[in-house]
Amino acid sequence: MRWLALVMMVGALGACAEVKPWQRGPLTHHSMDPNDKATQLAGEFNAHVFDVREGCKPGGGFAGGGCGCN
Amino acid sequence: MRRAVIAALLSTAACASTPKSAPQAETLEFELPSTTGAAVSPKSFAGKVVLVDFWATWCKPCEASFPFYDELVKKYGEQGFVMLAVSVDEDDDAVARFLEAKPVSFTILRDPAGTVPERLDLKTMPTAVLIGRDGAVKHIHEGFVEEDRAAITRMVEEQLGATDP
Repeated sequence: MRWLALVMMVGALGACAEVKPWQRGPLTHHSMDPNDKATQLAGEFNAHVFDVREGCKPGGGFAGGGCGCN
Repeated sequence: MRRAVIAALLSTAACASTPKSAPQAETLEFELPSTTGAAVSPKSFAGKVVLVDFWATWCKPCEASFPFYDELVKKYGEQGFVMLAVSVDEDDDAVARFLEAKPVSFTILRDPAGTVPERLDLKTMPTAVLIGRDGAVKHIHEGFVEEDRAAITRMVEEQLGATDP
């Protein structure tokens, strides 16, 4: 068990990929910024869809019956 | 035996993020297309002082350095100073939009695959490589903050004053 844990830990460390300084463009995209307005709006929209779908157990702060009309 | 196996596994993991040491290049040779389509090489400017700057539209310090480099070209261009700015952006449109909003007087080259930065093993963006009149690399300047203006100007002036062998 200890061996398995050790191998998994080492494997996880080895999985790190180096991003070179000139390859960081995609990381600067606004979708990578949790404070970005568009990202937040998309998050709220997804939360609303989730709440409507799972109306019987609202977890995102919205009350609703799952009728899809809220 | 067990210790040896652990050491071997750990050294394998460490290899994934070990940085390579920067090669001490005597000269900087490449040929890249400019935004106008012409192939440009530092060799084309033999006898001049060439500053090759590696930049990207998403790099804020790079953006901050451009007005300064524009001033340098205007001030020292007639004395033989040439500025080549190599964009590593993957998106041509991003570069076009950037230059439309912030036009510059110097030559912009394109290296979307990052072949030259890869070869130089650049450590940061932007990085400016100063080539003397003899074609040899004289200085490599990493990053850009406002306080770097004086040091970069002094490096350029030193090379402009140096005689061509």
